Order: sequence, then structure tokens, then C-alpha cells
Amino acid sequence: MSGDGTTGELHGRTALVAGDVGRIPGVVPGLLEAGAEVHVQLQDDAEYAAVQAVSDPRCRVVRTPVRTFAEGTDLVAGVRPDLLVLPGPVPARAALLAGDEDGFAAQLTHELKRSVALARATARHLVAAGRPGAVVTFAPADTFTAAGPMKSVVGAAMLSLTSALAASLADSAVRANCVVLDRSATGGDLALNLGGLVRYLAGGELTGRFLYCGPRDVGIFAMPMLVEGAHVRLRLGEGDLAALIEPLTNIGRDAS
Amino acid sequence: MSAAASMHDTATGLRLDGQVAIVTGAGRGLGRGIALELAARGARVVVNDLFRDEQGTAAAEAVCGEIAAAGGEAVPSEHDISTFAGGEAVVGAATEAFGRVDLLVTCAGNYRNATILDVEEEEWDQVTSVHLGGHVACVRAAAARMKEQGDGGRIVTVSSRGGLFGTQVAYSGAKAAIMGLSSAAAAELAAYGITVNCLLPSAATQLFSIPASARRFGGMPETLRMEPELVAPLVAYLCSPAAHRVTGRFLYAAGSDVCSYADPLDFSVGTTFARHARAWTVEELADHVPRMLGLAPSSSGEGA
Repeated sequence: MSGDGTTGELHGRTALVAGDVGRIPGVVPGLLEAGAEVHVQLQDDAEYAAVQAVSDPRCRVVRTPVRTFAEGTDLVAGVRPDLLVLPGPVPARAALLAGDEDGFAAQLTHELKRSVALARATARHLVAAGRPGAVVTFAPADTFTAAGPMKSVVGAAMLSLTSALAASLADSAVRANCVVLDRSATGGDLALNLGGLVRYLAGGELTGRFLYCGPRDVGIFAMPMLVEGAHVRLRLGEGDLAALIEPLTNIGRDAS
Repeated sequence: MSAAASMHDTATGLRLDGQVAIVTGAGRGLGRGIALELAARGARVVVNDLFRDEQGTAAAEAVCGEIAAAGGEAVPSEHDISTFAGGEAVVGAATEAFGRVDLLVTCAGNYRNATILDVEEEEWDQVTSVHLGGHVACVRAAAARMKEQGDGGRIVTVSSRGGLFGTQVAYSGAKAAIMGLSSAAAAELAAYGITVNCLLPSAATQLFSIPASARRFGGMPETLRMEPELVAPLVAYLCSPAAHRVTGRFLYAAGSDVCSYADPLDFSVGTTFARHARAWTVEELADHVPRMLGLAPSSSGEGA
């Protein structure tokens, strides 16, 4: 989607980040440094307050909630993004047995329906305009091991949304990938790695993949529920991220 | 089931006598087959389904009739399980009829053929409400009752192999979300002796005809048989006392195939696929599944 996708240059491109950017450290600074114009959409006062401490004055803050598909369409029509970033679920809240229906419905709208509405609107906008673009979603690394149902529900749904986007947009120049974020690992620099990975995904050709990102490692997961294929994971060094990732996505392909 | 087989089941913890099961979406397809199997193994069953045929006959009533004709006990329920009130109502129906709830199998579902580009909000809402909302409502209500009873329980949720890589954004998304819900529920409910496992079945039902050309899915060998009742033995095993150590798992069943999937985001655990020469029996699964899952043989009667 950029002039040179492999270098992560995003001059003249617009990114829409929906939600608490503090949960995805390094992403907004990385996009800004790459030259993108960054809009941060915030759903409510709580999200606005959470973002205050980490927001960059160069970002354009959009305090427009997205609770319906129509609101997603309206927002995307105004911002016209080339890149959509969906930060994924907030940390676990109520236990299943303690949850109530209103809380479940509210969180479902806040975390999931909003993401689907924005992804749908962005995909339609990019396809209609014939433009290249990217959607980068996030899911927690402990999606299938953590307690607290909404974190797991939304994390798994974000993986699925990514796959559905990639499959439906395979004939276009719009890419979709999910970053599986590991906050439990220590050492290294999560913000540095994550910022670099999202810049790479914003401009690269990779699509439909689930990529692990921790403070020291990146990896590509085997496609869940497939009998074949394997996970690959590597320790980050000083090298270029794209040079590390691209050979891993070509395992088994004919070199010619 | 023969008398000899019944005695063998009792010895190996595979009978469900005295237990009360709720099966949602049990009027047709997978749910019907599962309800019949659980009843045949001794469970008293709440057959939940909203569907009525053109003559107005309730599918749930018809399945209860089949169970009664085979010597079992069942009551129908036409509660809409997509709301918390509906989930509580179906659990209430079980306690009113049979005094307790021990087993829950959540088959109720719907389908809309829509990709991310063409899905409409109403379609997304409908599918998410029935699949995800229905699972949350029923699992929450049944688990609360099981916790109150104090002697554990079994929950089998129903997802899809297409959940994490399907193209139907509403259906796939809801089915993936059910996988997440199942994991979290398994973690939360383990303290109460309640197991939660997630079934990813394949069968020809009223929702999916699955032509032969689509039966090589997810890298598996072509599925040979698609009768929905062939999925039921694995569910009966997961509902049995013998499966007390099996929880938080993702398991596939179709025809003569079963598969234990790796945790989707775990670098260390593998997927194991097994094909039988014929349909699996519950007894065979009780022997085979723990080994597929890497569980050591149990001295408490797990496995035949």
C-alpha cells in the first residue's frame, strides 16, 4: 500500500486506530514515524481518559462512537483510511458466573461489533476505490488459556474476523493479519517490536496470518484447526523484520 | 444397546443413569442424534428446539416421542435460548421436570451466507445472538445450577472448523467466539468439577448439506460419512463420568473420524487425527480419546 511496502514508508497514507492505543505500545508512534496520518477513534469517556496518557499530539482524535454498522460506515467515509488497526479486547472483566446480560451486550458491542463494523466499512471503501490497504487486528496470546470469558470471546473472534477479511479480499490489494500479542513475556522491547511489525504489515503482501509478537520474539502460527502446517517462531536480533519474516511465510514453496 | 454392553458401560463410567441433560437445538440434525444417544445411555433429557414443521408439529415434541418410544425419559422445551432469560428458562424446565441439571450440550444455531463485504447488521446480530448469545446464556445458567448442586457437571459447546478460518463473517466469528468462551469457561468452572469441551463437528444437517467436493476441509482426509448421529458417541463420552479429566479441549467428530486439535495459539501442542474402519462407539472413544489428548491411563475406570 505504500510506495515501498518493505521499508514501512507510509507517507500520504491514512491510518485509523480504533480504541485504546495504550494497549498496543509502539504502534501509533511507528505509524507516525513512517509518515502516516493517524486518526484514533474513541468510543466513550473511559477510552478517552485511558488514551490521554499515551496519546501523541500528532494524532487526530475522533470521539465518535461506533455501535452500529451505519456509524462505522459514516466514520470511514469521513476518515477514508488506508490502514485500519483494531487493538482487540480489553483485559478480562467479569467471570462468566458473575456476568449480567447488559454487561455482556455492552462489551460485545464495544469490543466486537465495533470492530466488525469498521472492518466492513474499511473493506468496502478500499475495494470500491480500488485502493490497496491493510487491516491489522490484535488478539491476546492467552486467548485460549485465560479466564474471563469476554477476553477469550473477543480474542477468538478477532482471529476469525482476520481470516474472513483475508479470504474475502484475496482478489483485492487489501491485506489482513492478526497480531497475537504476548504481554506476559519479559525482556526486550515490546513497543519497538510491535511498532515495527505493524509498519511491516501495513505495507507488506502478507495476508491471512496470525503473527506472534512478544518483547523478544516474533512468530507465525500454523493456521488453527488445520491438520497440516506448523508454527514457526524466532528470536529477534538486530536484523530487518521483513527479512526475518518473509522466508518463514515461504516454507514449502517452490523457490522458482 | 445390549445388556452386556450396558453392564460394561456401568463398569467403565460410561452410563448416564440418574443424570439430567439439556440439549439445545435438539429437534433435528446433530442435536437430535445427541439427545437420542444421551437418553439411550440413561440420561433424562430436556429437548430444546424452536422449530416447528409446516403442520405445526414441534420438533422437540417429536424427538421426545422417539426417546419415550425407546424407553427413555424426555421433556420438550421451546424456549428461545438467545437471551439470558431463555437460558435460565431452559435450565428451569430441567429442574422442574427432573430436579437437577448435570449435562449441557449447546447445538442450537443458525446460518447466514454473508462475507465481510456483504453482511448486513441484522444478519450479524441474528447469528451472533443465537450462537454466541445462546452459548453464553445457557452455559452461564447451567453452570450456576451445577455449581449450586455441588457435584460437578459436563458442558459440551458446539463450534465449527470454519470458526477461525471461515469466510462467513458472522457465522465464523460467532463459532470462533464460542471456542474462546469454552476455554474461559473450562478455566473458570474447573474448580467446581465442571468440564467444558468444545466440539467442532461435521455432518450433513438442515444447516449444511456439505457436498462431497467440500469434504476435504482443513487438510483432513475426505470425510467418508456425514450422518449427524455419528457425532453423538463422542459427545456421550465427553458427558460421561469417565471423561472427568477431559476439559478445555477442541475435538472434531465426523463419520468415522475424530480429531484432537492443538490449542490454536500454543507453540507446543500438536493435533491428532484418527480414522476408524467404521463408526466409533462410546467405549472405543473412552479408550482412545485420553490417549489422543496425552492423558495418562487412569486407575478410576477411564477407558475400557
